[in-house]
Parts: sequence; C-alpha cells; structure tokens
Amino acid sequence: MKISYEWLREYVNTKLRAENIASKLTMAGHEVSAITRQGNDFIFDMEITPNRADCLSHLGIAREAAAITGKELKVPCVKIRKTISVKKPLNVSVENRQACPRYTCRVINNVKIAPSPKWLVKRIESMGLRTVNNIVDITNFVLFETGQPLHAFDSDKFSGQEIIVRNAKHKECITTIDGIERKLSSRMLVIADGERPMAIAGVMGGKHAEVTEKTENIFLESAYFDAVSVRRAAFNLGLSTDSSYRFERGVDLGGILFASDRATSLICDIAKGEPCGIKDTGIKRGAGTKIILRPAYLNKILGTSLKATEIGSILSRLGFSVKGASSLIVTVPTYRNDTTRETDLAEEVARIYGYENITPSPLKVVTTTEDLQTRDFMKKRDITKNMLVASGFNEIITYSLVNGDTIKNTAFSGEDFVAIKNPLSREQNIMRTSLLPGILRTIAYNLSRQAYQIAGRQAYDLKLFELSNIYFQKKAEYNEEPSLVLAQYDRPGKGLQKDYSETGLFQLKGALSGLGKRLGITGLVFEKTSHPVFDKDEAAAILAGNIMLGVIGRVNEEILHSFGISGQLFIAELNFNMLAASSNLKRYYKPLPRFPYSYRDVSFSIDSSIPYSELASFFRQTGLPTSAQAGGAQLEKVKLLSEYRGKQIEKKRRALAIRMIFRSKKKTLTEEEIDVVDTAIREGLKEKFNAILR
Amino acid sequence: MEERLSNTEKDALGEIGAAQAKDELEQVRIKYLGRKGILARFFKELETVSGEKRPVVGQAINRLKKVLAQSIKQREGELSSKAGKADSLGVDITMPGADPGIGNLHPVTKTLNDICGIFSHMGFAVIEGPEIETEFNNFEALNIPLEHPSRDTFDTFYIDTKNFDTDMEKRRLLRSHTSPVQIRYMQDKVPPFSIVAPGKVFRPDATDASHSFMFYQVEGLVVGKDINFANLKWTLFEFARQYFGTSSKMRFRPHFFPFTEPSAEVDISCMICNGAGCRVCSQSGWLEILGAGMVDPNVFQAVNIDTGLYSGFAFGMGVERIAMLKHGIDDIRLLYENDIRFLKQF
Repeated sequence: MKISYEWLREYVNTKLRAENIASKLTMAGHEVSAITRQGNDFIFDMEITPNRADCLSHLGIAREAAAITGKELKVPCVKIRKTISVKKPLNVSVENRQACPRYTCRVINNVKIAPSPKWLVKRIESMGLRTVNNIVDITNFVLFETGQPLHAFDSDKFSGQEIIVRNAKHKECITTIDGIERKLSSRMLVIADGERPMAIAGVMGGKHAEVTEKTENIFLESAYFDAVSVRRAAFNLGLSTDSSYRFERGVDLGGILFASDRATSLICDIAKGEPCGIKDTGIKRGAGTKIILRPAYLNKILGTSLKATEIGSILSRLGFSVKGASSLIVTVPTYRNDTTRETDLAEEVARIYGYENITPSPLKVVTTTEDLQTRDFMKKRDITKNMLVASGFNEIITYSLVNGDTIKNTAFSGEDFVAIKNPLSREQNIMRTSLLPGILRTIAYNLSRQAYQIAGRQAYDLKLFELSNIYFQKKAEYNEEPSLVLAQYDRPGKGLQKDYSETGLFQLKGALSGLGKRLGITGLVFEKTSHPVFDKDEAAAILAGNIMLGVIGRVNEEILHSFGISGQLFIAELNFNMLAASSNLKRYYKPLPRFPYSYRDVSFSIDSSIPYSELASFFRQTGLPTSAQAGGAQLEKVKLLSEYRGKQIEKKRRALAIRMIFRSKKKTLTEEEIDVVDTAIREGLKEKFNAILR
Repeated sequence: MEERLSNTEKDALGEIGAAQAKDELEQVRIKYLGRKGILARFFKELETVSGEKRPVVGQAINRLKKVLAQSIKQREGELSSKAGKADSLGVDITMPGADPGIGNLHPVTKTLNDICGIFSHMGFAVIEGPEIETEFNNFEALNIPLEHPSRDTFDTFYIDTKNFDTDMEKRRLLRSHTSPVQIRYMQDKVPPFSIVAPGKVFRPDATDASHSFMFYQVEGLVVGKDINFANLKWTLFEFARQYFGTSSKMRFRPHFFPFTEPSAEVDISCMICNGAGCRVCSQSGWLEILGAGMVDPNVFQAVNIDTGLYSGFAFGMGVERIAMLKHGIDDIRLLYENDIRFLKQF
C-alpha cells in the first residue's frame, strides 16, 4: 500500500523527516519497504499485515504515527450544508443481512461533473491512480484517507428511487466499469435496482450506472460488506480491487457515516452538489468491545515491568479508552476489530513501547530430549551420511516433486503415486516414488556442464548420494519414507582392464559393505536379480538375512540413453527404514590376538559358474578343523586378491587368487601346522570344485 | 711425540674436511687409520717409549684414533647426503598430495546441522514430522481460518484426493511451513518442553533467484510456566551470536502471524555491508531471517494446553536464506541444481 508523506502530515503534526517516520513505522510493525521521491513528496511503499485493516489509509497510519511520536491526531472536520428534502425518498432493501450488515446511501443532486482541482489530482496520482472526474476522484480520495471504500452511482440510471442489496441471480451478468462482462454466481452479492445489478458489492461498480460527464444526480454508497462474502466473490471473479482488499480485511463499522459525510462535504464543495437525506440501514454501530487487561499478565508475557499508568497511556494514544487502576478495563475502538483478547492488548503495548526496549532475559532451560527411537534413527541417518561422505560420495538434494511422465516410465514403478491438485507446472506434478530419476538427472546435468573432470588415475570423481523421502498412496493413506540412493559414474571406456575390485559395481558394493559394517548390519548379502533399471547381468538384490534392503546394479543402456548419459553408471537404491531397522550399533570388545599370523596364497582356475560366495563358505568350513581347538592352525580370514578371465585361461573358467590368513589362539604356528589346513583346502578345491591349482 | 701427535691431528682433520668425494676421504682414512697408516706407526713407536710415559702416550694415540674415526664418519655422512642430492634433487614437497577422495554433505544439510546443533546444546529436542499434512494441522490449529486473508501468505500445494471439493476431512496438502510439527508435538506431550523441528516445506512459488517451491525450515517451540517475550529475544540473540558471530546484530520488528501474539519479524545486520546498506539488504542494513512470537492462546486451545498455566514462544526460519546469507550465495537454484563444483565448496 502507498502512503504519501505529505498527505500523512495533514493529520499528524510531525517534523520528522520521511526516512525517520518510515523507520519508526517499520519498528512499530508497519514495514516501509521502499521510499520513492515524487516531486516534493515521498511515497512510502508499506506492507500492512492482514490483521490491520485500519492501517490501510492515511488516517490509520497517521493514528499510528501519532501514537508513536506522542503527537496529536488531526481528524478532518466535516461540514454538510443543510440538506434539501426530496419528493420521493430513496428506498433501500437489504435481502442478505449477513453479507451486508450495514448499508448507507446518500442522495446528492445537481452535481457538476468536472475535472478535479489540482490538489485532488495530486493526491489521486500519488496513489498511482489516474484522475477520472471530481466525483470518482473524491470517492477514491476518501477511500485512501479513511480506508472506507465508497461508490457513487449515477442515480438516473436506476429504474426508480430504490436500491436492492441481494445475491446475484442464476446466470446473471454485469459489465463492470473496466468494460468486462462478468458472469455472476448466486453466492455473490450485488447492488441492484428493480431490473439489473449495478455493482458487485464491495468489489467493483457496473458500467451502466457509472458516473460520467453527463451525470447529474448520484447515489453515494458507504457500506459494510462481510469480509468472507467479498473475499469469495473477488476470488471467484479473479478480481482484486482497492475496495475488495479493504472489505476482505474488515472495514470500520463505526467509520461508515464519517466517510460518507466526508465525501458528501467534498462533493458539495467541489462539485457543487446538493445533499439530500441519507438512508442508513442495518447495525448502526459496533458496540466497543471491553477487555480486562491485568498489568501483571502483560508483564509476565512480555518479561517487562511496566506500570499500569504507562500501559494506559500507550493504549490511550492508540485510541483505546482505558479505565481502572490495577486491572484495566479497556474499550476497543470500532476500527480495531483485530483486538479481542488480553494478549492482543499486550502486543499493542509492546509494539508502541518498542520491542527493542524489552531486555533479553536468559531462558530457564526446559531440557527436552528426543524419544530413544527417534534419537536412534537420527543417529543412524547421521552415521550413514557421514560414512558415505568419508567414502567419497557427495550429498545431493533434489526436488520431491517431479514430472509425472517420468514415473510413467515403467522402470521407476509408481502405481501408487501421490499427485498434486494444483501443480505449478507439468514438471512438478507428482511426488516422487523413487530417488532414481533425480540422481540420474543430476548425473546428466553434471556431465553436460563438464562439472566432472577426468583427472589422472582418480577414476570416480562423480560419486553422489541422496537420503530423502519418497511418497506413496495407499487408498486414503499417505506414506512417506526415507530412501537412500548412491550413484557412481565411470567414464566411457574405463574399467575394462582393471582388477575386478576397481570396477564401479564392486566399488559401490564395497562402499555399501563398509556402511553395513559401520551400522552393524549382520548377514548383508547380494543376490543376483533382475531389475528394469539395471543391466540384466549386473543387478543384485541387497539383503540383510531375509530382509530386502534394496537393489544395486549397472544402469542399462536404455535408461542411460533416455537421460543422455554416456559411460558407465552404477547405482544402489535402498529403503532406509529397513536399513536402519537392520542396523545394530551395540559393540562388544573382542580380545586382541596374542600370537602372530601367517599367510598363504592359493591360485587356481575354476568353472565360472561357481560363485565366490560358495568358495568362501567352503574356505570357512575347511579352515576350522578340530585340531584348531588344540591350538592348531585356524583360517582366520580369506581375502580375494584378484580375478582373471581371458585369453590366458580356458573358456568358461576363471582364475582366482586367494590369500588365507592363519592364526592359532594358543601359540605361534609352525609351517607344518599351517600345512595341515592349507593342504586340506587345496585338496578340497580340487575334489569339490574341480579346481586346477597353479 | 706429543707434539707430533697434535700436528698429525691438525693435518688429518684438515684433510678430512677438504675431502670432496668419498674416494678422496677413503685415501685420507688409509693414510692415517690404515694398517700401515700414520697412527699404526705411532703405535709401533709406542713400544720404544719409556715405561712410565707409555700409558699416557698410548691414551693420546687412542684418543686421536677415535677423533679421526668419528670425524671421517661425519664427513662421510655429509658427502653421501650431498651425493644423494646430486642424483635425485631430493623430494619436491610442492607436488600435490594424493586426493583422499572424500565427499561432502550438501550445504543445506550442513546448515540444518549447525542450526539444530546450536539449539540441541541449549537443551532443545530435535523433532520431525510428515511433509504430507492435514488442513487442520497446517492451518486451523494454527489459527489460520479458512477464507481469511491471513491464508494468502500461505499458498499451498494440495494433494489430488478423491472428492476433493466435498470431502474436506480427507483433504491433504504439502505442509507450507514446519509449524504443524508444533501441533503434533503439543497434542502428544505435556509441557514444559523445548523443541526444534527441521524439515522440507512446499509453496507454489514460481522459481527464481530467491524463490523455490521446495525449501527447508527450522521451527522452534518452547512451552512452560513462565516463558516470556524477553526469553524469546534472549534465545534468538544467542542463536545469532553462535551462528553469525559476535559482530552480528539482531532486531525485532512487530509483525503479524496468526499463530503468535505478540509476533515479530527478526532481522540480522547485513553481513555483506556490516549494516551500512548495500544492494543485498536493499540499502537498509538489515536482512529478515525469521519470524517469531508468543504462542497464540488460540493455538494452545486447539491442542488443549491450559493457557492459564502455560505460555510459550515459537519461531521459524528459512534454512536456504540463512545458508545463502552466510556463504554469499546469490541464487537459491544453485542449491538444488547439485553441480558438484558447487557442492564441493562448502
């Protein structure tokens, strides 16, 4: 809202410069967001909070300025010449009292329509409006002066001396003064004569009864229209006006006549109109609400020690009437319909006293702790994020709203997705059911911007993860659950000649295994599976015992292509609730070994169809012979050193090198003792797995 | 003989020092300490020395032998380190170290951690709530009635539910602020308590440099028997001191929020211009960073907390804005584009 500094000073006698008064208003809750110089004047751009309808005018702001500065408020005096009587008095009937609690209309005859005088033009233009004619300008002037919207009709356009305030009829239309024909609904209130609607109540007048240069006689409306009713009409018409804006926030029931009289007196002065009687129907005046204000309560809420007299003085300056000494009986002026409770008065006092004058006082700590389940979950989430960062992954955060078309891609299953009723665009019309599309898009984005730089042997610069919610719908139930996605990008052509452990898939698996270990997840296994996002040969389910945690794999060409990614991309997606539930952060100390270890390496070739997991369990079983109890050698650890497939070896076979680490709990081992177990393993490999030892 | 010994020492030490290479030094060593060297000759001569002087001279020769051996060893060390340098020029410590390949947390996560960490240390619990909410929790319980202008500032995404227009009870929305977490917590718990609630919120704002339809907030709530506005000021001042540093200033301006009374908007002194006025703070020297106030009695009523017994304060801050101010980020979109060069900067 615009406020003219010069105009404001007509009502409050302050010598404060524009920026000083602006800063005082800001610190009293009426933010002046910008000051623009306009000739000799300064225009304040003000942000009036929705509770302060009374401040949507120059008098309203002047009242605040007067209260802040302790100066007197000068309300313009209104003089109306003796009214003339008319033969046929105006009849006003209000059919919907709820939507129009009060309606006043003054008849003014023989007005001389003309351009407005200079001073009026200046005021109107300072508000960013264009001058129309003296009558229209006066109604606008009074609106910006008092905050009460007024409307002047050309009364000769009415079918008789009758005004009807009623709901619009079905399919009724009106052409508003902006020249647009608008369809009305039966929930909208109109001002009508016997034949047609003349205005949409509180929103905009109609073209038909518009005041033009030919107008001679007018009806001057000053009314109280119900906030919700105006708000609904303005919303449904997509039309917000200076008038509707004020009615929506609630005008001053006690200020309706004053505004009407003020406009009438100006019309008589400027347009030489002859005022007739005023028709006033409905609630005459809102009885001033009385509130008991206990200074002790106020000081308790604010943390102040204000005296009753100080409190009373501040409230009086704001127009409240205050009685009593210990408990104050405060009568609220009609324009302050926002003030209904003791706490509202406390705010008024604090505001004018100045928030900056309230001394901070240390908070008596109300120590509160999370319940253990929440704490445990958050801790595991922190561990996960920190662990992944330590493993070289960068956290990303992508939008929870995604394009519905993405989800239609079967790869990102999403039957039970949650759709947005009022999306901003197709790009964000549903809630994601997977973090995959987001991370794929992020990889593609980084590649297209050359954000990823290939530097020397560092093969995996582009490692990302996201831990965020995904969303589902089940009938009328909505679920949101945290999901974890990891991606590791490997540039094209890389990784062909590498050892298996340097390939993206096993690097990613290694990161997950490391995370699993840190989280204390036992029985973490990876089982081959098929998945629409992944290459059919390189996809696995991730399980903790029998619990499915997620999937890992190499993204297939089709998906890569659809996101415009070239190269190799490895991704894992996990249900984070499951991961956290499988995690156990308890740790028990195991005594450290007292004797040295020895190791032996075994290299062999074996049929490619035999999985390593099978070999590993064979090693474990054979490595723990009964002689270990007596202090003999025991296989403590098995480590896969390398895998080789290729020309140097028969088809459908692969060569593996495995390091076996032996130790005894009771002594330092001799070569002979190690031989016992080592030989058993080598023989077993030959017999059970048809291995060829090398 | 003593005199000859001391002359020999002088000569030998001079020659050792003058040796510029290992073979030169070896020649010196042989000359003095070799099997037929000068010292060997002294030892032979010793046999001719009279009985009472012999031990004294013997000790002198032995001492000289030790001194020369040590001096040669030392010179050898000097020469070999010199030789090493001549071969490989030593280690060039200015070459880059190996990249440990560590990743990074997202700047928003770091900011959230910092904010929640400060309040945690003050004794607040960190509480989270759902992003898909009811109208009651997001609006009504927070004293934001339907069809009231106070809702205008809370443009909201609605979920496309069945019979959206008629079945109001089952309407769901994406929370437009983290305040519903307050409601859930207060419905559940008996005061006193102090919590912060971090999380994602959504508003249908067209995306530009300072607006995003998805962003994070941290909500704070303290309810107890004697909680007042002065406590609120202290708490937020303390937060500003810890997060922005001791040179930062904070001011409270009266404002309106449906769920607090009295309400305040809180500004921090602009860290770009130190309050002098610049483009970032629109010349005002201040930047708005949060909203706060005393919990409105209507909110307490909605969650059945006795307003006669308890009072409380609440505050809410936009995490991106705080991160942007702290790190000088001028476009909120950078946070959600996830350019790895950006992410690695924090």
